[in-house]
Amino acid sequence: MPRWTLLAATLCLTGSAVLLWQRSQPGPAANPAPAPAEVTSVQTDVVPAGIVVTESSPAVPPPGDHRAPGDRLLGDYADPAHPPANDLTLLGRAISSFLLIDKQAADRPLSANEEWSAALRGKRPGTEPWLSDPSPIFDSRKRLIDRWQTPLIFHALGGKQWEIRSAGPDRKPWTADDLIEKTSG
Amino acid sequence: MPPQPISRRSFLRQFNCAAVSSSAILNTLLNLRLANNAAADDLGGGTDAKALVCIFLSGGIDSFQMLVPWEQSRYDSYSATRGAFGSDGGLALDRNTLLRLNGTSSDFAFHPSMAGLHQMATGTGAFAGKQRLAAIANIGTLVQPITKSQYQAWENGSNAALPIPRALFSHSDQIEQWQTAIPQGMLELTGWAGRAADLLNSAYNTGATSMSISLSGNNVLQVGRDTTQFVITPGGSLSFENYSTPHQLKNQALRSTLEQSYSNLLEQSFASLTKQSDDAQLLFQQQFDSSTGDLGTASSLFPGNNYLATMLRAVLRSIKIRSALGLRRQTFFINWGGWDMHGDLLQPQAYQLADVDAALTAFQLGLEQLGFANDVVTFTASDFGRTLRSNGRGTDHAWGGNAFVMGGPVDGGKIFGTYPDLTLDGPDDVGYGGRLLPSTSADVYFAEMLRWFGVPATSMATVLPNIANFWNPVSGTPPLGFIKS
Repeated sequence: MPRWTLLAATLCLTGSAVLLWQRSQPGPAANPAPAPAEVTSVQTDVVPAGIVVTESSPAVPPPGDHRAPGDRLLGDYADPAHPPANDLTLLGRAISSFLLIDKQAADRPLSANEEWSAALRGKRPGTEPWLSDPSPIFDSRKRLIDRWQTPLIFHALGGKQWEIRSAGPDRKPWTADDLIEKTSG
Repeated sequence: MPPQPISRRSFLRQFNCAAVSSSAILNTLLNLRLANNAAADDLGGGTDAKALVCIFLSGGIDSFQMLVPWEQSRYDSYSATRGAFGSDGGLALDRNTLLRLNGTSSDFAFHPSMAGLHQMATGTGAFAGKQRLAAIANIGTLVQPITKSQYQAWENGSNAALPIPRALFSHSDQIEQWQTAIPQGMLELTGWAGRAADLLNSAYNTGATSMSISLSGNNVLQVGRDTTQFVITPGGSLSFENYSTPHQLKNQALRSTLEQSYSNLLEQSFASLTKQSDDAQLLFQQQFDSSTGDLGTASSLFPGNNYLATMLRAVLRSIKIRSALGLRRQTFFINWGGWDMHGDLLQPQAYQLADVDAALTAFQLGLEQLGFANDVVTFTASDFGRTLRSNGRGTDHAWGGNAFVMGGPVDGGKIFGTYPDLTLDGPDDVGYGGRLLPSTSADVYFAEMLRWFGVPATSMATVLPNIANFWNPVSGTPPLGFIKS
């Protein structure tokens, strides 16, 4: 056996022994180990099959608190405390983030409001929800709407760029009070 | 000598070198295959000279307002889908104002703003006895023929392997696909006219000027592996001339630097290439401004205040000087935008179509007058068709649309392909307000013109990689039949 192989094996064994010794030593008194998370109840009905829940597992939120990843980005959507243009900025960010995660999304048609809605709700083949359904951003027909309850218009510019148009307070698209935001993937 | 053990570093080094050199070898082999195919087909024979002129109507023209059903039951279906003429938000054109076609196309009509093109299609008026214009119905980007049920299954995820054009309904993606003829996407961005130029240029052309001439700057259509685009303006080439005194001094200085010899290979190469380009521009401008390039009375055919007409006049001059430039094959590209009419369709389209009509009519009349009518095929293309249903004011992005092709070689007055059923949710509608599934692929449209242009059957798949999915190039039959045999 070559000498360098013996040397490497010896080093590995020595390193392992040192690590084991260090783990067996108690920590310094000034920094006691953090207490394990106190678990009062475990919502086992929302735990995916195959996952074993122990007392030291982090708490699983109840089903009502389960929100899709993009929901946080739309927290202030349609909030009267913010200007209407803020809504489209938030949606633009949510869309950019969605396209960052789902790299293939833009290869499939994303032009009509209904196509965007399906994509963001995870209703397209092989996709996960990015926005919760129901959500204030969807109307009863699952269309993405502005704060005046008018369906948003998506203009596919190409090259993973879109223009989002809100019909504005007059609720008529293509008029002077329309709000427009560009977003890209 | 025993084999030496290879170190990781040396392995990686050799692997990278091999990868780089194999790419070059692959490219060389591809080019050799192209050259061999071309040689086998005896390109360059004869003395003919031909030109293809692309009018790209960017923005996605609503071409179901250009070629409209006239037969009553078909018109009723059109009217119901688009919204009755005169109704709030209705987009249907008044049947009484439509310009009805004749012969086998008499069930259809043109938009009222297309009077000149109507004469060209019907062989009347200025085109009496010469039917020079044909239409291609419901054409669009496709990778292979598909049915509505196949498309719907793909949308629902149950037919994921079905090859569908990437990023349907989006502007720049669809523009690119119309120009590459590879809707599934490609690693190397070349256009179908550029690939055709790679194949034909050395066989037909001898001049320094590129055969791929653009009046709208750089474009994808004419990008080739070996051939370059030659960008001109309505006034001629982009030379370092004809500017005010300070610019002339600057240009003289620039020319002087290009004529120097450089010891640095990169600098020398840059100077040589730029000088070649400058020389080609000067030669072009010289011919363009000469009596050879003078259109004579044909110049007055072109209307003023119509920039498309001005560009087409420059195309006509460029065709007229082709012999002096050593060009027997030319392609021309013109981008003419402003058709993305979501917010207003009826009035803007009527105005813009009138301009297109006047420009194309003048161009074809000019070709006829100068004796080039049989040498030139002019065709339209656009990003996509538009939704049939009104969005209240205009229409949105869709898929299949209608295209128009004109010239002496065109079997005019006819509609090729299958005109679709315009009923909402009908057999050709794939949803979202009347998106029509194309029944004719853009590939066969291009193949028909390339076949006329001189691309041999055995090389057609090199220029149009998906063509075998729609038509057998060696079958001896035309793909669509709009070019007279």
